[in-house]
Amino acid sequence: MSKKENTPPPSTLAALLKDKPKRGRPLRAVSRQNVYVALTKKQKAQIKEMAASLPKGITRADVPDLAIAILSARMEALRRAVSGRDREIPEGITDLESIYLLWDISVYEAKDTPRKWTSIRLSPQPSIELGRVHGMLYAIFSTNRSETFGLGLDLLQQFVETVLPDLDIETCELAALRQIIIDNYL
Amino acid sequence: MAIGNQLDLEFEQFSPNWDRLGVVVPPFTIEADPRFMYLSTETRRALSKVSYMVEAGQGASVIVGEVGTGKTTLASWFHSRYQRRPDFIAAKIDESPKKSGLLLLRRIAAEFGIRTRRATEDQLNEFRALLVEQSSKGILPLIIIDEAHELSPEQFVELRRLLNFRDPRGGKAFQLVLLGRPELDINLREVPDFNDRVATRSSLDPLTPEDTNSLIEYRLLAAGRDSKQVPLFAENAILPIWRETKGYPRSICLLCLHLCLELLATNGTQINAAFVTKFLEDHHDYRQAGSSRFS
Repeated sequence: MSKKENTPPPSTLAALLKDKPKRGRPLRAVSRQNVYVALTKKQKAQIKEMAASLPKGITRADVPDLAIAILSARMEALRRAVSGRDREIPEGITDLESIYLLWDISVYEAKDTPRKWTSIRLSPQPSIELGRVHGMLYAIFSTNRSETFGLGLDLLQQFVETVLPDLDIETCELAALRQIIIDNYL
Repeated sequence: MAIGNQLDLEFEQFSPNWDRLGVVVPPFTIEADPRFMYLSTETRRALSKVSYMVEAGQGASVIVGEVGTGKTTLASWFHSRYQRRPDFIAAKIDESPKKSGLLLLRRIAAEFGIRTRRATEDQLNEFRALLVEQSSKGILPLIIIDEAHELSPEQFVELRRLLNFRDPRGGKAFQLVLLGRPELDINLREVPDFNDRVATRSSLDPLTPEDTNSLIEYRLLAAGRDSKQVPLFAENAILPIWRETKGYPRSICLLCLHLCLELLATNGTQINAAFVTKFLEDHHDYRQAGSSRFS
């Protein structure tokens, strides 16, 4: 009997399973999507500065995802707080600036500040969340997508300045920091 | 004859023609009218924080401010807005009864339209019955107390007992907004049990020169003046007005009312810095002159 005949034929099932991705969440991060927003020079610098203040393992490219995570969590917290009432936003919050005042966010740029269109790259879930928050703010205050994203950036800045130092995190991955944000506000 | 009396006499003989200023109603009435409420940054901050606390069922909110910073206007705003909402019933106490906790409860009960009782426990039971009735419909009672710096420790005790009532969701059943002078903060320190239950504090500060300008423009716009017209108040008139009034909204409105009347009396067209200075020199006691008859 030859050597070749001794080796069992390869299993069809094993061949099928080999190198196949598991079902559910993909093994590698899904590529981010381009979302177009108009940002001021100050906001672009803000993204750069915040990336430097975030824990190791988080890069500049992750900042938009984190900004949307925090925006989504805080809007959800606001919605839940008034869920028993017949409005999604409390009576005294009459415009976007009132939201800044409610949450004690100091950074607020006037509408007429010059802005440049640019693309930010968002993971699939944050891009859906941005759409959801933008839709709600647009319906109530006619807020555009750039202003919605700007609010997220300012919320992230507040988080980096006031909450993050107390958490004392040196190294962290994007998913873990997202979870920390959600746990902190919801 | 005193200058104030002279002014009174002159004004009595003078019926202001507001049309000439391009407005349909007097723009600088000093009555607490929510239609004329100018939202400065501090007012907006107070509005957003307090309305959030009220709707989230957080219990007591406190707003402090000096005389003439717009507390009563804010109280009227809260009352008028929440009274219109189907998911709220609102009671506004403009001046609380002196000292007695029971009398305060009776006044609140009367505002809600429920039965008033002679014993505190009975009165609290009436409030309990109101809660059972309203919470089944998803309605939240809101109590607004203006001039809250006049409340006595005994009255704070009764308000605290109201705050202890819970709604079916577990939140505070009665929502309370207290507005008063800065002494309110000092009084609250003497009642720590109540003070611990305060969810948010806001303060109304005097306006900046920019806000003073915005208030004047807003009032004229709300009174019907066309924004395309030449400004009634020249840019250089704002600083002397702000200096004289120290940025207190009621004082700004009173001075602007007198400036408008003076402009009408002298057939002028615009109020500028020289006009304001001359008016203040000639009528330095304008505050004593009557104003309500022209509104």
